[in-house]
Amino acid sequence: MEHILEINKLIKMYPEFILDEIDWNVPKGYVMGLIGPNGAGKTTTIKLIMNLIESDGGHVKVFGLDNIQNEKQIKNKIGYVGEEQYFYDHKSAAWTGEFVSHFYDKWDGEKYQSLLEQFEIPPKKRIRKFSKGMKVKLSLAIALSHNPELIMLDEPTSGLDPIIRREVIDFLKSSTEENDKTVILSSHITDDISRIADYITYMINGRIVMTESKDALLSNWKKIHFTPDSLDKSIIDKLESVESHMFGSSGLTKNFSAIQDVLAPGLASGDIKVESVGLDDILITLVKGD
Amino acid sequence: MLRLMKKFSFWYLLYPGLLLVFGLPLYNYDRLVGPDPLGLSFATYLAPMIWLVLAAMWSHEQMESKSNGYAFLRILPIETAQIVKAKFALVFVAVAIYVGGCCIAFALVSTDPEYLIPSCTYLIVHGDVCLVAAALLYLGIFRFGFSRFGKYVLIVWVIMLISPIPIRLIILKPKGISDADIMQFMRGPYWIIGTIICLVGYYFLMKLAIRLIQAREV
Repeated sequence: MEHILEINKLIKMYPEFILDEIDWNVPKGYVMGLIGPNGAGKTTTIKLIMNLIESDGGHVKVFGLDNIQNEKQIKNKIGYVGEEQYFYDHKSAAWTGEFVSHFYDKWDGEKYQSLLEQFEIPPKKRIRKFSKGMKVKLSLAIALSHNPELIMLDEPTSGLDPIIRREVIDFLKSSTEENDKTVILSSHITDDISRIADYITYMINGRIVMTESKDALLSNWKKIHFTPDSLDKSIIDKLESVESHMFGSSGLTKNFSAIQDVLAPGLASGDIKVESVGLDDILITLVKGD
Repeated sequence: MLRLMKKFSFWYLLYPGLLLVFGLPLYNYDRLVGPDPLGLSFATYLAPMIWLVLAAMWSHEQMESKSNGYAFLRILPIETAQIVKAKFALVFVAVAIYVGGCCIAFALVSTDPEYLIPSCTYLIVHGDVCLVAAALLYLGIFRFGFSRFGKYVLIVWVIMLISPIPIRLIILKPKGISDADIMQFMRGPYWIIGTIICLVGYYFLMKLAIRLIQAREV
């Protein structure tokens, strides 16, 4: 599988936080969701990829090129939407488009205009008068108007109301499906990621704890509800986050396919029940186990 | 880089524009009344106005700070070093144009070498100091951030405004250095060495500024 992003032993040290020698590869042509609680290191990782902060060790290769040596070339092919949107806010969206167009080799002015119309962004209004949602949409319009090969979105929907959030995610979904682009979407809102991601990476306390395809992840992670004595102790010991309640006990397995046969009799008798879990259940389990 | 310089040039065009409006009557006054009506040369009027370049630079940085301009520029396909180079180049061009323009204006007043050479030298020395001051201001801004560094710069401005008085009283007067001696110094070759030192210093301070801004987090 071809990788558009390769991170090797990347380190960033702050007094209160360490990004701890992370290795991470992102396959080309897929949407990679980066999930983690606040302070896990998602934004730090994305800023290091964008060369917005200096690393304390390790290497980042984007499109097979070193991200520091080839900063201009790489940024020419990346559409980036950060957690905060920065513009010359005393200027308009039209001025901003004109200004940035000179720096991108493949800037498509018509596409930018049509995105402004689609997002209902007034081209002549000063950006400082825009709402948070409008600024995110303007960032998206800029990020997508130069036909990037890699789109990096760092918590783009954070702070948006549910309607705008859904609109932004749906737009991203349709535009990435159409153009077969690679997307890295970082968020702690797992619902956004589960809607569009092909692969999921979990990041906790400055470490990447898991990267897997979303389908494999959701088919392997299941919640098992069981009555006393219905499940062998050796299986119970392998479950995560086991808790007892008035109906019996429940716990999470991360390898459902391996125990499926063992569970079959209990499933048939109704002593065992299997429930699908969401990405946030997995996140909570991983955080507790960390 | 030219695109960036054009983007950054607003204040550098505004301040000289104002200078033109207010400076031209001064120039005409000098021409009508004749040189040195108050015992001061034409250069003495115009040289301090080179500090408008610093004012333009400062206003520009204030605007960059207010709108998080560096954060915006750094996500674009621009090498971080190019942003700094464009800013330093703009200051240099502004100083060079001002000094060059004024020297031409002096030549229009008089081509007498006794007048022209020290007048031009006086301006060039001001230009040298202006370049180094701009570079140091950039270093301060990139190291501490505009808002934090701004407080200290206000103190520096006041010191610079009153500095000619203590310099005269503490350094020049006790050592018996007169204005004529200063003019004699201007006619000598020392200013050339000073200018070379300032230009080399300006280049290395730019390199340091690039390093600082690369280390600065967005």
